[in-house]
Amino acid sequence: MKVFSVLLILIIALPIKSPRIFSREVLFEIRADQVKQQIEGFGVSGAWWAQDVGGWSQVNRDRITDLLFDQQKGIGLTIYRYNIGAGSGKNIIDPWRNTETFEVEEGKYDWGRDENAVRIMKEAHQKGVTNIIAFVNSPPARMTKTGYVTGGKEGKSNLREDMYDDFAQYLVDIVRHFREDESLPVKWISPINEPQWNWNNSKGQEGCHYTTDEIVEVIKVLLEKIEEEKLDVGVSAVDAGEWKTSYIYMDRLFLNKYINDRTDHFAVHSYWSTTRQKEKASRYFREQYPDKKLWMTEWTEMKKGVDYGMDSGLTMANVIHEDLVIAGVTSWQYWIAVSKYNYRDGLIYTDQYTENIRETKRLWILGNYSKFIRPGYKRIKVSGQHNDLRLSAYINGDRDRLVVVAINNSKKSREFVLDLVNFDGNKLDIYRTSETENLEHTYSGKVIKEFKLPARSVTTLVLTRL
Amino acid sequence: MKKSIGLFILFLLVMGLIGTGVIDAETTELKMTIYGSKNDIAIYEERIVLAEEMYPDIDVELIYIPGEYAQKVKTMIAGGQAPDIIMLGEDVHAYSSKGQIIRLDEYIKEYNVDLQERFADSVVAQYSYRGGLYAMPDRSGAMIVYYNKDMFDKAGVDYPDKDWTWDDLVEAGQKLTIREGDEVVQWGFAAGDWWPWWLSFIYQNGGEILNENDQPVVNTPEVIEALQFYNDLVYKYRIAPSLEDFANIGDPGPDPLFAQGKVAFQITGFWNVGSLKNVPELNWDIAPLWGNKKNATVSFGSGLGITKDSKNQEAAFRILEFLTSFEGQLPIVENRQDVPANLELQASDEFVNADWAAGRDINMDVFKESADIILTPPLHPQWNEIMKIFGDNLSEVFMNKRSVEDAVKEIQSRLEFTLF
Repeated sequence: MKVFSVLLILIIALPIKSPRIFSREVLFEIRADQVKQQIEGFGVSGAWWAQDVGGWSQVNRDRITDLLFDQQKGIGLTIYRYNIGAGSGKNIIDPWRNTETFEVEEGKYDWGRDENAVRIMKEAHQKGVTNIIAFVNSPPARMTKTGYVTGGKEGKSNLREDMYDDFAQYLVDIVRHFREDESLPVKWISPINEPQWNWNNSKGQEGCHYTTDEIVEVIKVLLEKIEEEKLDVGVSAVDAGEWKTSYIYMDRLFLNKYINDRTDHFAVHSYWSTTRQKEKASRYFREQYPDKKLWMTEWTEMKKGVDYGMDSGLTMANVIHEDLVIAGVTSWQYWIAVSKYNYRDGLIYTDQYTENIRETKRLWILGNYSKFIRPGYKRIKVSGQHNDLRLSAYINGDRDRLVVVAINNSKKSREFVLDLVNFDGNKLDIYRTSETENLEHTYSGKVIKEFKLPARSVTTLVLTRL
Repeated sequence: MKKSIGLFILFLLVMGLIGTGVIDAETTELKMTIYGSKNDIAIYEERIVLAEEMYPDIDVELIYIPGEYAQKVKTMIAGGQAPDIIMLGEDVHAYSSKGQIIRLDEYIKEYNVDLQERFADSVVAQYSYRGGLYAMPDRSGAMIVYYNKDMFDKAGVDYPDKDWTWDDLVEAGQKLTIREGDEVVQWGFAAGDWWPWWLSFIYQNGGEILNENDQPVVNTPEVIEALQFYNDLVYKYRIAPSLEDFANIGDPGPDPLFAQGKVAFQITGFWNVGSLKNVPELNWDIAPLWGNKKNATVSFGSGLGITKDSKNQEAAFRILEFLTSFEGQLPIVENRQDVPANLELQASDEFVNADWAAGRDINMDVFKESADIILTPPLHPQWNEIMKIFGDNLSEVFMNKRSVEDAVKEIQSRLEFTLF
């Protein structure tokens, strides 16, 4: 009986070593010579949790930042989105969604504020983050029309017409402080977030709506300020809330020559978006603006209820796959890393007023990508189709390491054969996330070509040429 | 009623007086699947209680499926757990074409149901497939025009009615669109990319999307002209907001825009009557849709079908017959849920003179007046695929990034490929 169990485990967990005939052979061809987009990295947002977790004990804080940013102990994310809070005030009830603003009055800052979130940002940087995006949900209250940071009235933008320059100066001052006083690699400012939605008090979070004309003006004024102040940062725009209507913003930004000359990517969120919408919008973008890149800068499954398992994990894996392969994004950034909510967000769950840490499959599945597909890797072509399997592949700059991420959506195990063209690796490592495994290193040895993926799993194959 | 029978049975069981077999012999148990909001469930429950009072020998269990309805019903059928009665929408013929629901014609004859008297022909046509009726129409409200009376009065424009042509629509829209500098502060009209809107215009122009033999007939002058006109309302006449305009005003749909008093007229369904009740300061009324070569509008609703695998089809039909009768549909009206499919009820005081809009005098006859202009969309078994092909191609047209001719050509060829 014992022998039987061991055999069974071997069959499920290991690639098939001995040659065998597949009843219905599934072949995927990977062409190392057919190169697609260059990956800039994977990331996560610090919004809503860092200002709490940053006040935790060192040991628990380390556990969180190790899981997220350390390539050995965790999933090695290299991009961090720091939320420049507007200083929420009393109309946001949830303490996690309340922020502190650095601004004391015009041109005067208290850099001791938001210390917990800044601590997390610094520790994230120490653990491996190389690129920080400072993003904004709302300008501070003194610059808004309503005096609140939760939005305007009847869908009007809440940023006062006479405050565009103040807003730009405020952002430049904060980012200069991070870069020069704190040596933090803040490389982009994202001044606008999901401008199409009607942000108002009822949403319970900071937000600000902008019309397309206002967007162009905010970005232009900010770019001018950055240039005038000789700050070495770019602008990340426009964090559109969905793909379907993203055309509107792509065109308005890049048809403006001044913005076009100074902006290298368009940032969009994958919420509420179908595969077809991503395919269409990204194809349009590439045709119109072939020298620009696409970033996916926010996504989490919009579904109530806590889920630790493969259900939401696989949903996320498929979104990552689509965004990288179909939409061709160069950067993929998840929404909140830590959640206390009864929701399918967060890579890690905690409970308010505790330092509880509970990992999810989402964390490890993001790791199937982020830990192995490092900045500078290029996506390469994969041919082959299967209803339950989705494969994507990436190669490093030295062309001596090739990474394949394979999703098996089926409730049954699935087999496939890999045909590598123009890559002769001699070592293979396999890492897997499934119901029973958390990015587990399941195989290390010579290169084989036939694989069996367990039911509902995400597997990373790392092929190396030694 | 249901509860009291249940309690009585429980009492007998507790007393050890009967075995469950006795109950099975006397009561026919039916399962019925429904979708909708929680409010909808209560109204179905109310109607089922009435049906059970009518037929004490039948016990109906409601199965509410909150999400992925079609998928779950299909799984139940495939897994040998088919419900007896299913609520159906536009995908009715995905079931009828596969023989998963039965033709009701024989029962209709046996129970002397006068279809023409009970339902509008256009609604019966929607649930008919190859000469047979596969579902009893249950709820059915035409898309109608909602208009802001104050805005029309101020601009000196006559209220919309059935006689309006497309020229009237443009003329009124232009008078009712008000600009302050570059900014539009009041739109004449508002619509978008939802199929009931553009499909109505296609039919108003004498076009259709599938002919009587289910062959695609999209690449025609009538369809091209209709879609071009529909898009011109936004980009040529500038009387309706574009997608960018919608995004710029915080992305409300036409319904909220109308409720906010920012649009003079729009097309939407019965549900808006209830929503507008909460906006007491808005002075509005409703009208049937206009036409071009003819009048046409879409109706929204649901029907009730009986599965092939039901072991109690006749009992199920008796329930359907009751649920679509005047009495069986009354809770739909009393609870302000929807327009009932039953014509007698539609014309009755209960419907026409109900206080739908908080004391406001709304012309509820519009729903009955609309009954004879309801178009019969080709509810083909592959309706969902057809709509996806339209949606994929028209979205770029509606963003003014692609010509109507080009999109229509591709839709035609993709439909030909998909449907044959």
